[in-house]
This record gives sequence, structure tokens and C-alpha cells, in this order.
Amino acid sequence: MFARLSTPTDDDASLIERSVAEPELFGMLYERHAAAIHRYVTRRLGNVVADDVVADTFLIAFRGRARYDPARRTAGPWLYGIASNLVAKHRRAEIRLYRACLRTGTDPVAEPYTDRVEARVLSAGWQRPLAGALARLSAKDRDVLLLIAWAELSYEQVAQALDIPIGTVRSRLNRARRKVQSALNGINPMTLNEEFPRG
Amino acid sequence: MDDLTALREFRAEVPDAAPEQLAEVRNRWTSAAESDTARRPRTTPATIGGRSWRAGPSRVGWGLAAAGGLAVVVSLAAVAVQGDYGSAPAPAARPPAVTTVSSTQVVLAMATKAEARTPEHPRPDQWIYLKSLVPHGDGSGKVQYRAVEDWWRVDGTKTARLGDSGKVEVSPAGLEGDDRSPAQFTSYLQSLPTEPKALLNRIYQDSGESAGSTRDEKAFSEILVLLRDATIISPQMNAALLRALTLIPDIRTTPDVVDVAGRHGVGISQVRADGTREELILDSASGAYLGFRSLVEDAAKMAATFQSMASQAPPKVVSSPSGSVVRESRVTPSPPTVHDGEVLHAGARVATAVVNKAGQRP
Repeated sequence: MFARLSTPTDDDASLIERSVAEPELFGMLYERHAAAIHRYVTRRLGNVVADDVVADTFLIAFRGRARYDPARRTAGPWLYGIASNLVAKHRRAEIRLYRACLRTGTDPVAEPYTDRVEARVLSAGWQRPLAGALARLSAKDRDVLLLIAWAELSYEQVAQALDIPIGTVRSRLNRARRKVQSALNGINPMTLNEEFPRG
Repeated sequence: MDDLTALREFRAEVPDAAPEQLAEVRNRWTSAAESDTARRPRTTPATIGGRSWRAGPSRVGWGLAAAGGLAVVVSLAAVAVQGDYGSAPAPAARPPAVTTVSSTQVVLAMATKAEARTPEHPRPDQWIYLKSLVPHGDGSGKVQYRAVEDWWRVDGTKTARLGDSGKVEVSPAGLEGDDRSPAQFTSYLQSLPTEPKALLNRIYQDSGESAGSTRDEKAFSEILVLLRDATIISPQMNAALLRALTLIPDIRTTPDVVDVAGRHGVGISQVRADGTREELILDSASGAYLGFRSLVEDAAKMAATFQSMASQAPPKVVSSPSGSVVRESRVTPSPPTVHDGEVLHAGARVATAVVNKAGQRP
């Protein structure tokens, strides 16, 4: 009965293609990508909301599987793109979490996984300005920055995920990184000359 | 520190989700996906073929899968609403509010006093001392109140309490139910908006599990519990919670009430659909939380509510000594004998302070 199951060597594109006729194959795509996407969304929104976002990401992906571009061999950027759109619906909640970290020095997202709260609070003075900078970024700039830093996508993959030109990825990343650097250096980014290359 | 290095380290503690958690998430979307394909058997005849594509050994029947699909649809709807806390949909039409102007003024004045308090910023290694009066049955059927003393470490890692032997017992924070450590509570409070209308909208969203039969009752309970349990609260948030209370319809104030510790204060209360009245008691000089009471507002209504609840309860199942299960016939218990104005339940915060060690009193 398992004769027609996909083999692990199939790439994502052929798996998705075959899943149009055999929907159960889509479950393998989940096995491949769920843990990474869940961790990414958890870092942005916390553990509980991540469950909702990841379930919705795969349901939306499943429903759109017939329209997947088979030229993209790995489905990661596609799934991160869907997840990013869903994360955007929780923008206020995301910002509140960064602000809570900024105000207290204790990060509500990381706290449940940290045994030695005190040590972390004392050693990580950079967390507060960093959280503050993340809260102030525009949603678009933050998506690009975090897909690079946390999801470890390449510029090209970010461009695919967010459906934007690669030049736009570069300009958003530059702008976001300057703001984060300024915050870490204790410089108010609002006082800098806001001239950045556009993509 | 380099910005990308700092970013990569930020929240790097977050681990991969446990396999059980991922399996649970998988079930949530696959049940909706299965019911998708089940609804179109003719266009995709060979798709399911009696095989389950869920993780796990057992096949879930189509009926169940469809029900699961419904649950996912409901959760999608809930996500859409939750994602927009700050501008939650306007409350549905309801009878006009009769919160009187004067009671609103009284609560707003309390808010102004609460806001003028000096904020506290305890260190993570300090402790919050809390002495409260809690109900205590002594077997006579009459409710007594006794003092309990607790210490919570601010970072949330430990709790301590005064044991019956008189010794201070420190234990790792075993958070049960919806107990939150002071640090978790502080984070939650700081995540709330201070604009009263936005705050009330958020409380409407977050109070689904709170006591009460309507949205307004649940919101009142939630605010009462937040004020009761938040031993460290910023003056702004304390004031915001009181201002949010004034936006709940039908809130009354009573200028002079006495809490279970015998202290006089201002009562802010809400009459409930079940015939009871929930009351929050504030210190009239500072606006600080003193205690709460649950009273009988309308004994006849309460008895009626009690009877209708009892008749809906499932029959009790008991085990007979031989081990076989015996189903007891449904018996409607006689309604409790209560009288108007009787106090059903109450509590008071007698003292709270920041101290340096567990067992230390201010």
C-alpha cells in the first residue's frame, strides 16, 4: 500500500506536483518544513499563536498547491511567504511583544525557554535596544530583515517569498540594518539622514 | 555588537517545536484539507483511496474529519479577529447603558488617584510579599476567612508560603491553572493598551474563560482578577483598568462598603444575570485595590438559575462496591437557601510589599 508514496529524494516541486492528484503526499512537505517555519513564527509571535499561523500556512499552501511554480525546486520561500502574510495580521501583537522586552528587559517570547532569567537579563543589555528597533521598523522592512536573519533565506529566496524585486530586498534590508545598528550603538535613527537606495 | 549577530542571538533560545506539538498542528490543517477533498469525490476520485494521510496510527472517520474541519474554520475566524486587537469590532447592539454619570465620575476619580501613585520597579531577584484573606470552611457551613501569606519571586522562578507548621516553604514555581508569576503578569499587563476603549476591547477578546454569562460579565471578572492579582502594576495601567470599567454598561458604585478585613472602601459592582452581584472594593483615599465580594442581589432569581443549572447537569455516575458502574437517577437538589445581600464569597489583600528574601515581612 505504500508503493506510491513519495521517496525522500523527491524534491519539493515534484512532491507538490504529485500531491495535486494524491493529496496525502502534501503531508511530506509538512514533515520537511514545519519545524523550521514553526520556530520562525514562534520567534516573531510566541509559541501559542505560532500553532495557528503554521496550521493556516499549510492549509493555504495545500489549497494553492495546483498553482505552485514547479521551477522552484524548494518550497521553503513559498511557505515563508504565506507565513509572512499571516504574521502580518498579528502586527500589533508582534510589536507589543518587542515593546514588552524593551520596557522590562525580559522577553516574553524567549522567557518560557530560559532557565536562568537573571543571567540573561544581566548579560544581554543589547536585547532592549534591539527589541525597540524591531518594534519601530516598518512591517515590510521587518519581514525582509527577519527572513534573512532568522529564516536564513538568501536575497533571492526573500524576493520569491515576498514577491518583490531583489533590488527591493536589498534596499529594505539596508534600511532595516541601519536602524538596528543605530539602536545598538545608542544612536537615535530618527536623527540620521534618511536617504537610502531604492530597489 | 554586529547587528546581524545580535539579531541571530535574539530569541535564539526558542527551540524547535516538540514532535507532539507539530503532530497536533498537523491534525488541525489536515482535517480541514481532508474535508476539502471529501467534498469533491468526483473530481478527485483516487485521491483519498481509504488511506489516511495524517500522522498517527488510527484513521479518523470522515464525520470526525469534517468536524475537525469546522474547528479549523472557526479557529481561522478567531485568528482574524485576534490579529486586530486595537480596533476590535464595535460591540453588538445592546440595551442602552445605564451606568449613571455619578458612578462613572466616582470610578474616574479613583483612576486619577491610582495614577498618582509612585511606580515600583522591583529587581528580578526580589520577592513580592502578599498577605490575603481567603474563604475557609470550618465545617460548620458558615464561611470563615483566614489569612494566608505568600511570597513570589519577581522573576517567577520560585514561590514560597507560610506552611501550617509556621515554617516558610520555598518551592519551584509550579504554576497551576491560570496562575501567573509576577514577571509573567507584568509582561501581560505591559502588553495591554492604556487607552481605555482599546483596553476594554482587548479584555473582551482575552476574557473568554472568565466567569460570567455575557461578554460584559466576563470583562468585569477579568478586570477584577487583574486588579486583584497584579501585585506590581504601573500607575498608568491601574488607572486604565479602572477607566475601562466605566465603559462597561450597568456598573454601579456604592460610596461606603466594608471588606472582609473590616476596612471601608468604595464598591464598584455589576449585577449578574444569575442574580448575584460582583463587587470590587477600592481604598477611597488612594484608589488601591482592597478586596472583592460576591453577593446575593436577587435570591429568587439565583434560586431559579441554580435549579435550571441542576436540571441540565448530567446524571451522576457512581461506582458500586463490586466495580460495576451504577447510573444514579437524576435528582434536582433543593435550591440553596440564601437571602438578598448575603455575601457568598469574598477576599481581601491585607498587605503587599517588595522584600529581599522569602519569609521576610515588610
